[in-house]
Parts: sequence; structure tokens; C-alpha cells
Amino acid sequence: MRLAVLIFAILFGLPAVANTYLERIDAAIATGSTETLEAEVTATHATAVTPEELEDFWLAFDLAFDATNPSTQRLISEWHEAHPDSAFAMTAMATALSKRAFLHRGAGYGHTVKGAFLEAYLADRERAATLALQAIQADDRMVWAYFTLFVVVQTSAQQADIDKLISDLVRVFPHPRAVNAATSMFHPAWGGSVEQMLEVCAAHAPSIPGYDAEACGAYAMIRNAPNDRRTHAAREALWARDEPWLDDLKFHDFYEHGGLDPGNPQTIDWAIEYHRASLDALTDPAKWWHQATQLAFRYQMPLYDLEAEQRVMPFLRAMDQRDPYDYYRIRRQIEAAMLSKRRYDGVFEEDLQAWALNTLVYGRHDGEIWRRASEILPSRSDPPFPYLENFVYRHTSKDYALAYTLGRLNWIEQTTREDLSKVETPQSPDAVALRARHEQVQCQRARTARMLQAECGFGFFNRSRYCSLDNRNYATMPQILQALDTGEMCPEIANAPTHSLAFDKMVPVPRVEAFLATIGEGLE
Amino acid sequence: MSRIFSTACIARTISIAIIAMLSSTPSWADPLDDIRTALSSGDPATLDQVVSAAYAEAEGSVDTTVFWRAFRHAFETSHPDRLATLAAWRRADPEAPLALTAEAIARLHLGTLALGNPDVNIWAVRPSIAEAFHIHKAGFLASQAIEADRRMISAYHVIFGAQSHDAAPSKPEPFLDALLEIEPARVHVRAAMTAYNTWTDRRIEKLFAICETYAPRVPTYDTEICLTDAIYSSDAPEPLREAARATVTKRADEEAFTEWRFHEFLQWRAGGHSDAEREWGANYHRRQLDRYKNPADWFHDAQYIGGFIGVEGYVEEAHARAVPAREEWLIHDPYDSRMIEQHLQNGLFRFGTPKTPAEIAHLRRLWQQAMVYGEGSFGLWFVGAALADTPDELHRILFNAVHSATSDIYSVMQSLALFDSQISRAPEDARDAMAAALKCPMVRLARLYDALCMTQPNDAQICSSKHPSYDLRGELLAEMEEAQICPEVAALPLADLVIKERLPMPKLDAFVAAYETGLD
Repeated sequence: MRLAVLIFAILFGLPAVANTYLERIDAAIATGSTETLEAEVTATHATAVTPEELEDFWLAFDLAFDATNPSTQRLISEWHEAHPDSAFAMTAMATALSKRAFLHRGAGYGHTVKGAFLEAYLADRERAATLALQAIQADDRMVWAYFTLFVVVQTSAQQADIDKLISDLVRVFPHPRAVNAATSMFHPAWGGSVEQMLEVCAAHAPSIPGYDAEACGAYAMIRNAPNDRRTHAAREALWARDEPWLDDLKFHDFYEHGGLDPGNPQTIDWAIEYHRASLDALTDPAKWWHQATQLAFRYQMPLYDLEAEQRVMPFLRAMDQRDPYDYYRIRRQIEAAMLSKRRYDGVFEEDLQAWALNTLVYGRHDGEIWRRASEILPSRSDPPFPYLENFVYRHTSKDYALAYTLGRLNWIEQTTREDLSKVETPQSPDAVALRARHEQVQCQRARTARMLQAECGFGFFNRSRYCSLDNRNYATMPQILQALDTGEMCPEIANAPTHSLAFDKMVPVPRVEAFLATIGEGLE
Repeated sequence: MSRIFSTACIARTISIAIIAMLSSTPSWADPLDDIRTALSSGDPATLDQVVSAAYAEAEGSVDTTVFWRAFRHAFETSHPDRLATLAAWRRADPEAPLALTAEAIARLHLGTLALGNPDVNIWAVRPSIAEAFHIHKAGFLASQAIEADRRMISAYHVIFGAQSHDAAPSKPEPFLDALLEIEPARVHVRAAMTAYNTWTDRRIEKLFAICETYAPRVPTYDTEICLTDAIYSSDAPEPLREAARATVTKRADEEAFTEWRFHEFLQWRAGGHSDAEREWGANYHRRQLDRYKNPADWFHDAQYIGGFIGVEGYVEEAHARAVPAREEWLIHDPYDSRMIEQHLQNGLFRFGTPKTPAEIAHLRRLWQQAMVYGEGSFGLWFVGAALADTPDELHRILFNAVHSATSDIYSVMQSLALFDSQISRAPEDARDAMAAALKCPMVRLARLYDALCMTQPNDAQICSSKHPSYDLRGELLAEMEEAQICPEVAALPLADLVIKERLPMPKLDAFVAAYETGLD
């Protein structure tokens, strides 16, 4: 067992700032034994007594089980199977399902979530809701089951007495976080209202030591209803108080909405200092890093981005193992690495390739993920076009996606043409292959150009900047269309009806398919 | 007999024509000097009289181009006394269309000076709202001028200029329409195009639409020339530039295309330029410099021609002509920061010669003038470093230079190098003390340089030993670590290395604070 812990610690390269609860749960996971897991999680939970200790325990619980690592996921399934009455196992399962649901869905607008992705999203949420309710029924101290339920309940068919659930949660976990989580259930975008949120605050916040309805209301309004007419008053009330425990909400208000005085240099300095100090073992490192990047960009401090990146790197490395398919995090790592490989001493081409494949496990619904993959994965035997076809198909701005794709193809055409011009023996196999490749690229360009023209409606009804001659990719379209008209290029595309050229389905990419086949399902 | 008569008759007609051309030249007379003299006189009545007379004369002729060119040029001034005269003229008759136009021109000019060189880093210190106000006011005065008298040609151009700075979508067409009714000319169509600034969406389509609609209305202009104008005056993508290039080559002999032929000449081309092309280009450029040509722009092109196009000795030749041209220019427009920056750059660095105290005092005064509008320019702070009196002043100037460029890596590298070269240039007995005084600021820039390198691509030359200053950075960092010098700088977190605040410069700040435009 000790050896396992050691191997686990080496694998995860645990960051300097550690958390005892997390270490204990991680060590239990590393044994791979459901018995140990059940015993160890129960024992660890028993050591958390005060609301603050409980908060840390449940955050650690979330970090450990809210993970896409298939072996962790399989272990959760086995745990639930071996201990069907275990409230912890049910909670862990609900947590992992809720996370996976969101990965299926992505962060796009509701109407962009479609087909199998939408079905998978709803199915995972429904199972998460059922399990969370069962967990609470089995043991009403399962704080994270309430939290998960509050997140997934809106799409669920489960019937639950919400008022009682909130009261129960506040009783077992008298911590501001409990009421705050409850208010988010009444988010106006989910059919709730400011009135309902304030009612929850008035009913429950006063019973929590050190908390009050005003602070709770400020939390609810700033987080969930930033544009309500009453929010400004709530914000003023918040900033007028100086209890240190309100700093987190103040930081959030500053970060998301600029606070009361957006340009004030002292507030900016304060926010940076607060953010600097807020990285620890239970912080979501991707989110923290994103905040650093945003702060650096908005307040023109390029080096804060770098400073944060250097500090967050070991945390991200640990997450690569714990949560390898969370594309929200990985795409940021990819972007930073592509921006400057100099910063990533340990990052080589293979890391980038592995990351790009990992994003495709859950991110296939997202056009941008296909675009990044098209930049990293293709090789001579694995041409970029299928990736780009999926990029266009899954992207919500077709004009942009088509113009970008045309640009990429123009570049490939140009380099192939240059290679061809250097060929000395035209009959050599290399030359023949190059010519075939050139012809193929020409037809891909022709198809893309025709679809771009159709998407832009000749620039009459789509007046976006991707449908303008100012755009260097769009500007190459007229020449291609002219070549099609004169029959110089790809007659089968020139004569095809427009609808048959559309990028309207997912194209299988052999390398990606092969990779996905090796992953297998984690959660049963 | 009849033949002799006819020959004599023709000879007589020709000589009459020549005499007429020589003696009565009202439509060709350039009133620039007269207007400038009147502006300098301080007397608004004289100014009114001179301008009105010149305008009346121009109105009587076929072509008003010469008058409006002089009028615009005379009022594109930042000279406070002249602007005070203009203000007095406006007060005397607030409705006078010529005075309204003149103030509109002056305000657009001041606003443009305040906005600075559009090439500078977009994150650099931006001008205050008060300065952008000049541009809005200019547009407002120009429309008042047109309302009072629709023949105020320069007022239309001011409107186009003001629209180009406006955040609201530009709509130059109605003004161009009215303008072409008064005087159908290519210059007006091109001015209207400038209203669509670089951040206009689908800009090239808008310029093409202007060409299709308005070019046919101008004699000796056509849509093809106009489309070429549109493409060259915007940053159109390569396929369009290729088409424009083909047109220029096809119609190379036509005067309308000479400007674009020269533009193409200034571009890089594989295999270099032929001797004939070089000669043509240099000759064309030589002829460009007159009193209306901006000598800073002119010399900028000369550096290209003498530099990478490789016309030997051309930069020196152009420099000899540019110096007096810039001095002359600065008499009329003393706060033109870009002009002063080039003047100082050449006078102190590239063609620098030892200076007498009086010359130094003169250059310092120029630098202060330039700073009124040039605070956001890294280049201007940078040249100011050569005028620093003390190590402390040098430190302040170079830190402010880096600040003005928001700690961009090139600004940091150049400033660090300049610290070093200014120390080595100091008299021998003062060198050690200076080096000691500047050590910590230099270490800070070295740390900043080092950190910024991590944001650069792997193959960035600026972050390799191929770059001379890169090793200077390494030496300073090694010294910091080994000798443990400057512990405060060594302890700073990365983000705090950036120069966040502009350091005060008492003398300069007092000079800038005392500046007034002269306008009401």
C-alpha cells in the first residue's frame, strides 16, 4: 500500500501546497480497492467536524471524483456496485456524472447543443440527480450530493422537496457555501428569480453563524443576476463592509463586473494580491490561470500571466493525470504551449499531440477543438482535411470556419505547388504522389470556396468580415471560382449541386477513431 | 502672302499667350506666404482681408486647388500665437465660413497631433479626451462652415478626416456628392475614402462602392484608377494587390498611376531593383520635396531608397535637404512631435556631431515642445535620453520610454542598450559613478528583458546571443545573483517588474503644463 501511495504521488507530482483530506482520498483511490475506498472515505469524513473542515473535505472529495480519468471512473463504478448502499459511493458517482454531462454539453449557447451530445448530457444529468437524491436519503450528511443535485435538478424529472433539502443541508453544513449553492438553483436563466433567491437568503442565512441575509443577497445577485436593477445596491452594500471573508465575493465582483470603481489602481493592486494568494491545492488550477490571464490582459500586466503560469504548472501537470479529458483545461494548455514553446521546457511535440487527442474524447461537439486538432495532429499519412471538415461542421460560425479552412488549404496548395516545381524527374513515384496530392487539394479548395460563396450569399446577405474582400482568405475565392467556371480545376466540384458539397456530417478520422477505441468507457 | 500673314499671326497669338501667362497669373498665384504673414501679424482684420482677397481671386478662376491647398496648409499649425490670431478672427465674425473652415482645419490638425503616430503600439499611453475633443469640434465647425457657404472645399475634407477618427460608422457619401457638384476632382474622391478608417468592417467593399458611384463623375478619372487608389490606400489582401499591381504595370505611363508605381518601387522584390528602376525611383523622390510635402514622410522614404533599395549615398543627400526643410516646417508647426522626433533622431544619433551648449539648449527646447503631444511615443522619449543632464534624469527618461511602450520587449532591450552606451560615452572621470548610480535600474530592465523573452517564440532573435544586448542582460543577471547587488530588484515578483508608473520630470512637466493651444 505504501508503494502504491508512493507511485501515485510520483505519478501525480503533487504540488507543494497539499491538503490532508485530498491526500487521504487520493491514496485510497490509488489502492484500487473499493473496500479501502469505502473505509478510508468514511474515516476521513469523520475527522471533519467544523463547517470549515467539512468544506475542505467536500472540496477535496469533488476534486478527487469529479474526474475524467478512466481508471478513477471505473473504480467509482465498481465502488457503487460493490457497496450499493454506500452514500459516499452514490455521491461520488453523481459528482462524476454531473461533470461528464457538462463536458458532453460544452459551454456553447443552448441552441448549439444538439443530437447525441444533448442526449448524453441529459442522460448523465438525470442519473446524477437520481443518485444524489438516493445518497441524501441514505445519509443526509452527504453535502456534495445536495450541491450536485442543486446543479442538475433543473433538467431532471425527479420530484424533490427543495425547501426541505435546503433546510437539511443548512442543518448538517452550517456554512455560507450551503445557502449560496441553494440560491444558484434559482438563477433567473433557469427560470428562477431574484425574489426567490432573496427569500432563500432571508430564510436560511441568519441561521448560519457569521453569515447574514445581506451578504447572501449580494452573493446571489452578483453571481446570478448581475444586471438586475437591484444589483448595484447589493454591490454597494458589499463593498461598504470590510470583513475579510467577503473578499472572495469582492474579488469575484471585481473580476466579473469591474467592482464599483473599475479603473481604480488600488483596487486593481488589491485584486492582484488577492488572486496571487488564492492558489492552493483545492483551487481549480485552470480557472485560476484563466483569471490570471484575464487580469493580465485587462490591466496590461503581461508578466502576471507568466508569473501565474509558472506557479500553476505543477498543479496542471497533476491535473493531466487526475482529469486527462477535461478539454476546458487542456485547450488552454495547448494554446499557451503553441503561443510560446519556450515557456514549456517539458513540452514536446508528443505532449501537444497527446493533449490534442485528449480534447477529442469529450470535445468532438466543439468546432474550435477540431480546429486546434487540425493544427497539431495531421501528418503526411493523416491529412488535415477531415479534421477541417469536422471543424466546419461543428462550428457555429460557418463563414469564419469556411474562410479559415480555405486559408489553410490555400497554404497547402501553395507548398505542394512549390514542391512540385522542384521535382526533377516528373515520372518518379514522389512526383506522381505530389501531383495527386495537388489535385486533391485543388478539389478541396474548390469545394470550400463554393461553400463559402454560398454561406456569404455573394456578400449581399451575410455582411460579416469573413465575407469581405478585406479578408485575405475570402479574397482568394473569386479566382478559384473563375478557375472552376473555365473548367481548369476540378470539374466534379464545378458541376456538383451546392447541397451535395455541404459540410453537414461528422467525418471519421482514422487516427482519432483508433485513439478513442483505446479509451473505453469509464463510468458504467 | 497669306502664308506670311498666317505665320505672323500665329507668332503673335503665341506671344500674347505667353505674355498673358507671365503677367496675369491670379489663378496660379500661391497665397501661402501672404496668409502665413497675416497670421503672424497678430491682427485679425489683416488676416480676414488677405484670406478674403485670395479667396475672391481664386473664385474668379477655373481652379481653386492652389488656394485651398495653401489655405489648408497655413492653418495646419500648432503655433500658439497664430492660433490666437485665428481665434480673434473667429470672434470678430463667428459666422464667417472661411474662419469657421480655418478653425476646423486647425482643430483637426491639433487632434491628429494628439492622437500621435498611428503606427505606435496600440496599447501605448493614449491621449486624453480633451484632445480627442478637437476632432469632434473640427467636424462640427466644418459642417457649420458648409451650411454657411457650400463652396468651402476644405471643410468637406475636414469632415472626412473627423469621420475617420470617429467611433461611429463613417458616412462620407453625401458630402462627397455635394463636393463633386462644386468641383469634380480625384483628390476629393480619395479624401472621402479616408473617412473609412482601418477598423471599418468590409472597408474595401465600401471603397469600391465609392469608386463605382463617383469615379465616373470626375473627368480624367475612371473606375479603374479609383479601384487602384482604393486598394493601395487600404491594407487590402494580396489577391487584390496583385490585381492592382497588374493595372499599374499595364498603365504605367499614365500620370495617374505614377504615385502607385513609386509605391510599388518602395516594396521589397525578389532579385532586387534594376539600375533603371533605382534611377527612376530616386529621381521621382527627389522631385517630391516642396513646401507642401511633409519632410518627415519624405525622409522616411529616402531611408528606404538609400537603405534596402540600395541607391548609394541617397540617405546622405536626402538628409542634407531634409534638415532645412524640417527646420522651416517647425517654424510653422512647432509642436509637430513626429517631425521633431526625426529631427532629433538624425541630429543626435544617426548623423550626430558634437554639439555646442547653445545647440543642446535648442534641441532640448524642441524636445520639450515635442513632448506636448508626443508623450505616448517611445521613440521620442528614447531620443530625449541623449539630452539627459544627470544619471537620474537618464533613468527617468528611459523608464518613461519603457512605460510609454507598455514594457514591450523591444523598448526594454533598446533602453537597456542605451543605458550602456550612454555610460560608455560619459567622460572618463564620471563613468564609474554613473555606472554605479544606474546599476539597479539596469538590473531591473535586464530582469524584465529576461522575463519577456519567455513570452517570445523559440527562434526570436531578440532572445538569442545573436542579439548584442541579450548578453548584456546575461551579464547583469549574473552580477545580480553572484554579487547579490540590488536585492530589492531581485526580490520583485515577475509581474511587478513592469514599469507601471510614469516617473515625474519636473522641468518637462512644468513646460507641458504651461502649454496652451491659443484657440478659445
